Amino acid sequence: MNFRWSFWRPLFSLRPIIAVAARLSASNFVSGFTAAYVSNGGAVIDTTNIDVTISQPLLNGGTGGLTKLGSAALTLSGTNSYGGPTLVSDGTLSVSGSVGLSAVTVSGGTLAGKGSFNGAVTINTNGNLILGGLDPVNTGTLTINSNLNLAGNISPN
Amino acid sequence: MNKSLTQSNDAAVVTGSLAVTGVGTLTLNNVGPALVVGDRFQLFNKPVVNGSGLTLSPAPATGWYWQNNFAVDGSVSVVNTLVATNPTNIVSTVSGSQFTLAWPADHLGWRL
Repeated sequence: MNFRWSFWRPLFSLRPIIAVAARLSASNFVSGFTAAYVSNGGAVIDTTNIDVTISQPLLNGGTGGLTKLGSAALTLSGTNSYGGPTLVSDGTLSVSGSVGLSAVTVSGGTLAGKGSFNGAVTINTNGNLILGGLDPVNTGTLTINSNLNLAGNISPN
Repeated sequence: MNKSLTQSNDAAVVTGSLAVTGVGTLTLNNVGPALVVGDRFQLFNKPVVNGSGLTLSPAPATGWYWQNNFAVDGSVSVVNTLVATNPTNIVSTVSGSQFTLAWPADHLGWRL
């Protein structure tokens, strides 16, 4: 995984592994920066045991995409423009912001959202799609400015 | 879904192709006022190719059904009698000056 984090200082590069341990909380998981560039290696975010929200934009820093691992939820609430593929194999990826041209494939777990996607979305046989995000009370609309292929299960929340 | 809200249900707007490519299940949970026959919920903004392949669950009430209109207009509706969606033949007969058209009872409700 390669991230370039954008602070007030000039950009610099580092290679963190984002593995969410129980000692971390969702609120401080990604504090201290305003944006991150996803470089060629892509970003792997494992949310085992804890739900995480990333409000900062994940920007296009190369060909890398986003791989979501772990049984808990990852929420993207920012305006994301990374260009590589988005892969969900476990847990829930919830998008309340937007995802740019990344093609999204859900091979396991769930994609939930009331945000927007500009790339194609594919829900494979073992995947799930929740329309309207995770809010159990208010309704919402998922916008896909591309193709949607559904082989898995669907539920309005 | 909740009929008391301005937007009665979660939905998806898709600008590209929209297709069902498997045999998944669509789970429909009503969290609002009791449903009545004729209620219609627009889940997709357009017809869903092969949308009739989705299984709709659970039933809206005992003895009622979800009518799968996905392939037609992207919606589902509450009915108390399921209308078969497979193609069928219309039988015509002429007796004297009377012309009669007939079709299977499980296809009542079709609109030509």
